[in-house]
Amino acid sequence: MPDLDDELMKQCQQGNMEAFDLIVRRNRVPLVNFIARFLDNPDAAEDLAQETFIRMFKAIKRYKSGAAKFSTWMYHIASNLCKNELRNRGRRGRFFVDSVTTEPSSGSAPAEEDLIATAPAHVSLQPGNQLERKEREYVVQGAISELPERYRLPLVLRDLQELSYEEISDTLDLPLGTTKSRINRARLMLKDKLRSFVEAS
Amino acid sequence: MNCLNTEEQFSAYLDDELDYQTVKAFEAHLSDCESCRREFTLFRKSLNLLHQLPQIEPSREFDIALQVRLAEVQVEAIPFWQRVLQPLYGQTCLALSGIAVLFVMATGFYFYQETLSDPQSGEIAAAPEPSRRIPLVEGRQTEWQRQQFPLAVPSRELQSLVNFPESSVFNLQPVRRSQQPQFSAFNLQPAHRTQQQQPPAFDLQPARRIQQPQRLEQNYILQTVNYTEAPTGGGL
Ligand SMILES: [Zn+2]
Repeated sequence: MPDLDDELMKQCQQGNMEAFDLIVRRNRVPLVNFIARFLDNPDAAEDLAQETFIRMFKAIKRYKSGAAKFSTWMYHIASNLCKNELRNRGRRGRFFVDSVTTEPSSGSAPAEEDLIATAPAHVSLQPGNQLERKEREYVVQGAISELPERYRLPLVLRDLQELSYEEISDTLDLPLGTTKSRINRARLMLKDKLRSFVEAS
Repeated sequence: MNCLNTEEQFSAYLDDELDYQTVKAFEAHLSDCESCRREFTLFRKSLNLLHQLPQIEPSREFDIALQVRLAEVQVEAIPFWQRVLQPLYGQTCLALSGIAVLFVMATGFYFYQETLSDPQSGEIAAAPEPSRRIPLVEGRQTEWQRQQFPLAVPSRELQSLVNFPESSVFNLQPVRRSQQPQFSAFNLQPAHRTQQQQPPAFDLQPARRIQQPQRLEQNYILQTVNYTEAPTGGGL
């Protein structure tokens, strides 16, 4: 099955640069979501997604059509940018914490575990289905963020970006078997982290 | 099959990657072992929660900022001499033609005064060359601009290729107050989504695709604003 993004990249290489506009529009949402969920930070996600597109744009001439799927190439660039981001800045605290808690945060941020433990109590004071969804998002995002990077990355690519095992193995330069076992391991860790939440609901 | 390697097959079972023999062994162990059954149920439920995470919509600033950054990259990509010469060329032409016009007017006035016999001397002046500016986003573009800045004008053929709406990321109109930005206009699934895996056994619903995206960020911004406003209010 021909890959439309791959076709558009070929159009770019032939000088039809407006095809890049379409590449951006097709991939902006998945890319921003991937980075936001992996880094637990939607603001940084927009910056890094832009940077990913810029790098792709600059690399149009070097793009090898067919050698790797377009999505593999895109997520490879984005993953490397994310890893650099984690290395350079370190984690600046949780975005979703601020959005869910109702009190303004004081100077020193409490430990992540405490926040996860207290978050449902905060939000349960307010009624509504939307709040339930926010609470759920907060808890699940928190559980993802606690996973070590080498498990979190393949998990997000598989279960949020819906890449195939083969695509993830290409994206991360990992053997297929390693990719599969890391994803299963990541899901098992997630299961343990969400145990009390699932059993309570 | 024991408890440990049953756990190792959770994903492979859900992703339908096991051969028939292993599936039978897996299911046989689950029916015998209450602990593994409980863990597997928990595994499926937590995975469901993951799949139900709402989609985050990029902000409108995202598209605008990206447009500006891409335009900058395009300008950088133009050879240095062209970048320097294009505006200079335009300005020089304009300046030269201005001087020429002044000269012609002066000489014309002179000849008009001195001798009324030679009125054709005014034809030396060249027509002013239109100055060439570098456009980032403009409605109408010359052929030269099309070549230099192709991103600004997506062609009809490409638009029709993927059925896009008329407006483009690179052709953004200012948002009207009355209209909420319609991100659903870009409701395009990336290509890899079309290669859907077979839904695994049990109830792994891709429910998150249907849910409306929630922007938690808005709350965050509100809080930040309140927080920073507080000391100012106290000071006054
Ligand atoms: Zn067992």
